[in-house]
Amino acid sequence: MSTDRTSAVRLAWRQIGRSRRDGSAWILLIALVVAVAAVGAVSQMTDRVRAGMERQGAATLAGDLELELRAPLDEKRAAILDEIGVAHHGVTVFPSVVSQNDDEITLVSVKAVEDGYPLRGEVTLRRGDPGSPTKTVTRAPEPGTAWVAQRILDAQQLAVGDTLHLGDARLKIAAVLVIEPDRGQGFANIAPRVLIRDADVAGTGLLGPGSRANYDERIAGEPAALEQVRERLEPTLQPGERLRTPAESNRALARALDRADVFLDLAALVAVVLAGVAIALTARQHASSRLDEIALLKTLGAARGLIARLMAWQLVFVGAIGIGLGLLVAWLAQLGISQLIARAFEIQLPTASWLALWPAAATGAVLLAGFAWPALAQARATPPARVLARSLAEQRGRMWLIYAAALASVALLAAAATRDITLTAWVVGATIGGTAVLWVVALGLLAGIDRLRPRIGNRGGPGLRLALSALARRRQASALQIVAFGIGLTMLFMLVIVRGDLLAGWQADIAADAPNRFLINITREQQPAVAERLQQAGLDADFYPLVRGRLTAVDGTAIEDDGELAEQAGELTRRELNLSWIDDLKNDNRIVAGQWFDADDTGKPRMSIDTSVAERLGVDVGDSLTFDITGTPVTATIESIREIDWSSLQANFYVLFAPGVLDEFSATYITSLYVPDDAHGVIGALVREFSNISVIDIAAILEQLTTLIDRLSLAIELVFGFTLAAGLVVLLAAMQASRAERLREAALLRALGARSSWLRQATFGECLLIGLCASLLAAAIAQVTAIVLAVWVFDLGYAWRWPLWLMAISIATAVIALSGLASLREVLRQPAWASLRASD
Amino acid sequence: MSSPALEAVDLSKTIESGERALTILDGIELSLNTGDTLSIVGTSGSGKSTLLALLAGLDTPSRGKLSLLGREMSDLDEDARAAWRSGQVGFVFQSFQLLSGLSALDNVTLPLELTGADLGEARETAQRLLEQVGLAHRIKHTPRQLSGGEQQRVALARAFACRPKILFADEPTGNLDGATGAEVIDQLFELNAEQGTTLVLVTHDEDLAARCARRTRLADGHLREH
Ligand SMILES: Nc1ncnc2c1ncn2[C@@H]1O[C@H](COP(=O)(O)OP(=O)(O)OP(=O)(O)O)[C@@H](O)[C@H]1O
Ligand SMILES: [Mg+2]
Repeated sequence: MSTDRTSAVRLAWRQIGRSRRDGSAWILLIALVVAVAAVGAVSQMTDRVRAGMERQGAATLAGDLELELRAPLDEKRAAILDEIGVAHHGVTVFPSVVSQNDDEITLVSVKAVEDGYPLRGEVTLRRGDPGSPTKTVTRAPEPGTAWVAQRILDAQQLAVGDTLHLGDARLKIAAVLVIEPDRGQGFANIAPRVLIRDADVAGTGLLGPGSRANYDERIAGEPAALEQVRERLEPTLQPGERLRTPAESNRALARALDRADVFLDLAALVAVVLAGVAIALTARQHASSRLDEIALLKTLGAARGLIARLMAWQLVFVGAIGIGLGLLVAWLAQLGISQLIARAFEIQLPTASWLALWPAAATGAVLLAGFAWPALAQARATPPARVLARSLAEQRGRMWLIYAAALASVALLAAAATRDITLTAWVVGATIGGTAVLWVVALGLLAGIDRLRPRIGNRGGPGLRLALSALARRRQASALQIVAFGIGLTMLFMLVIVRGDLLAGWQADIAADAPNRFLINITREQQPAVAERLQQAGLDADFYPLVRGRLTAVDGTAIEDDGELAEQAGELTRRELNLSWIDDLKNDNRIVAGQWFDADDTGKPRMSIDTSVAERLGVDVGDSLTFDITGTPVTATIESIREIDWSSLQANFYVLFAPGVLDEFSATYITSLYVPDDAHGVIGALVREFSNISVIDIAAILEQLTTLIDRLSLAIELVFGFTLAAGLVVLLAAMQASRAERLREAALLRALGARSSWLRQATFGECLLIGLCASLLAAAIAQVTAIVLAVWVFDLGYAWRWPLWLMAISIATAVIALSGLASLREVLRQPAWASLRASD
Repeated sequence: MSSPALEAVDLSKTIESGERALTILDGIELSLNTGDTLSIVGTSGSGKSTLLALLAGLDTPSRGKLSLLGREMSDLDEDARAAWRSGQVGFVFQSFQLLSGLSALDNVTLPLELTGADLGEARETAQRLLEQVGLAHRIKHTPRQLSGGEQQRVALARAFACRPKILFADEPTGNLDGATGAEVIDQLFELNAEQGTTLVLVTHDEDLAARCARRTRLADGHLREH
């Protein structure tokens, strides 16, 4: 090391040591520690919450991954799974009938599972009558026994302990199956379940060649191992085989997870922006306190290069200390959070590694570079004359550079943290727009206050008068403070509002009156009568006609003839699809392309399809699809593409024809409705009257979704609470930036004869106005951003949340005003002379 | 003019710094009548600024009593002393103590605002005072943009602003050249002559000390009149 370089390091170190007393270095350090800790803890937390959520989702699949097969798993691929070291076992599902009661044949769906089922989640069983206590287990039924759905027992007049005739096998009914984790969703699985062991399948004699069975391999393991499974199994997939995650197989879950995921990203982003605000505020102050020292060094003959190195080393030292401490705090916070999450999700998560904290460390470094360096670089350009005559004004021209650097680093961090460009764009956009709006409005407001001041005069007492004059005097500084608080509060408010929308959206999904029964197979003739019975019972029901058809051609190309197309279409061609028609677009459907049918379309060969169908087949508005309906080909042009909110649990259809097109085919009707507990009798009577109608009970699915959403909500609340707390700490740290000046002024005012009560009123009033101004603007900007996010990113409904506004604004204002008061305490405690001497 | 403007009895200041106590002032006795002019000289570090702050009621003594403008200060709390000072006591700090964010005009207006004066009138008064100290063209500038001497004159204008009954000034001409200094001194004594303002001045300036009716020297914590 050259002597020059050594001296820069030594000087820098000594300067840091010296600045122990000057406050601004402390504030920079505290801001850095809080920023790094907040980002670290939030990102750690979101990682763990995400892991928890995935586990939760895995329960709905009884595994982390599902390999859909056309035959039991072959040995080669089983060997691959064993080699990777993941747990796996097969699940076979096939239809059958039970007929132990002479005049009743019950269609059932048999699920045969291996030892070790379920890999994730738990099975709920009951031994007694409906209403008696249930218990949960995490094992498969014993060989020779079966767990059977209540509906089968009712229909066949069986009870726990009886023997079930399943094909040639005789199985002991060991328990009533209440909920199985991997029940599936919607009305695809309409038949009631019989859960048996794989060893008993052969004995039933039901699985001969050509029988219709679904084979699944369920896989569970650590994320890294699962990644490996994907990599190695994907190339081996044959047509009709699929590898799916819980989210891919459960749409309601996927949506809930997606939204939660975006929210967690948002929370992390907010932490970054808040940290940036704090550092920007303090770095500016730090730089101005360095100006004199730099000027002095220059007059003593220090070269520009030396000073640059000096500043750089100073940043390195402050950065190292700040980031180190911040990481420590984050790690400690994360330990506590893990406990909470483990309890909330009832899972044990692996302890976090220090390495996982790198984003926080990077945030610290980027923030320091982006926000602090420009301010210090500006200080470097200070002319030595400053030390001789302080009459030279501070250079202010390069402030735009600081803001540009600040913004660039926020955008960079945001993009890195979320890997979500849309969300980042919105947040950065809100930050830029918000800053501009805040700045303009704040300056305007302060100018207005200055104008009004002479007119208010002494009417509000000396406290108010001093408060107003303080605001008017420090117009630039006050405006800066309003902008900083405003940005910070905007972020926090946005989080509050989005959280509210998100939770409300979820609550709507699982609203108490969400449909819990489907009635299917209603004939056209029966429909009016059924509708009347339901209406008499006070039950709301919409009926949808249903015609079944098989997709045979896309744009005139027969799928049979086109191997590639057949593979693309997959499941869509293998089974018949439910085709329907309605006049008006349903609430849970949204047109994403083309136009919904109008009166002109009636009877014309037009259709509207779901986005997933469009993506699968690679078709767009204007293309045509051909369906085979009871032997008649029907071709129609796609007029619109819809996105369906499957989480509504309403009856929905991939393919809707224009009204009138399918009139010639015989249709059955389907309805979904909410049946309260005390109205079971109505449905029972209905089924007795129209014996062909089937009832599907999805209460169990609803219950699963409710549990899931309850836990997701809890996770969201946890992260939210932490970000909120971190945000407040950051804002308070920023508040400290103006403390020194405030103290000096208070001390002088006291020497000039101001009473404590005036000073208190003045400070309270000043901070109150700043807080009110910042929080009002922040609430407005946050609401607008939240609406945009709700509509474009979260796909949620939104609401103006006035009570929330009121609460957020008053809390923020009170906190700012009270912290201003708190900083006065020191001045009020001691004689004016002591404060003045200390501030000199 | 016999009512005492200031009466100090056994005024002492001891500072606990580290292990041993530092006695800066030890049994100061001083009595000033309204309209008196007093100069205090002494070597650097002898405790002149400390004494001035004590006499003005800005600080509390470790021992002794002070009566300012007929009011016993030791019985009063911080607030009551501030209230008593307001509008009656002027102070020129050695380091000026101007607020850096404020223009010269606003700095001078400040004490007037505290007395509840009309803002427009207060500004007019402040402007007139700044003109009087020769800064008419610099009223919009902030202290950082002013030279040391200019800042000192702003501090003086601020002390004049309330037409104080008693004015304490710590090295009021320390940063001024001979001519400007003389002008400022003239203004101080004009105030004394016209309004009967009692003046207490800490100074190194022989001319200034010479114009005071009473002259004292501070040494070893004791004040001697000569
Ligand atoms: N709060 C304090 N803590 C420690 N020492 C103090 C304190 N206040 C004053 N002193 C010391 O008391 C002594 C007198 O200080 P003071 O400022 O009154 O001196 P002065 O006579 O005004 O000097 P100068 O002419 O240089 O302005 C100094 O040595 C100073 O360091
Ligand atoms: Mg002194």
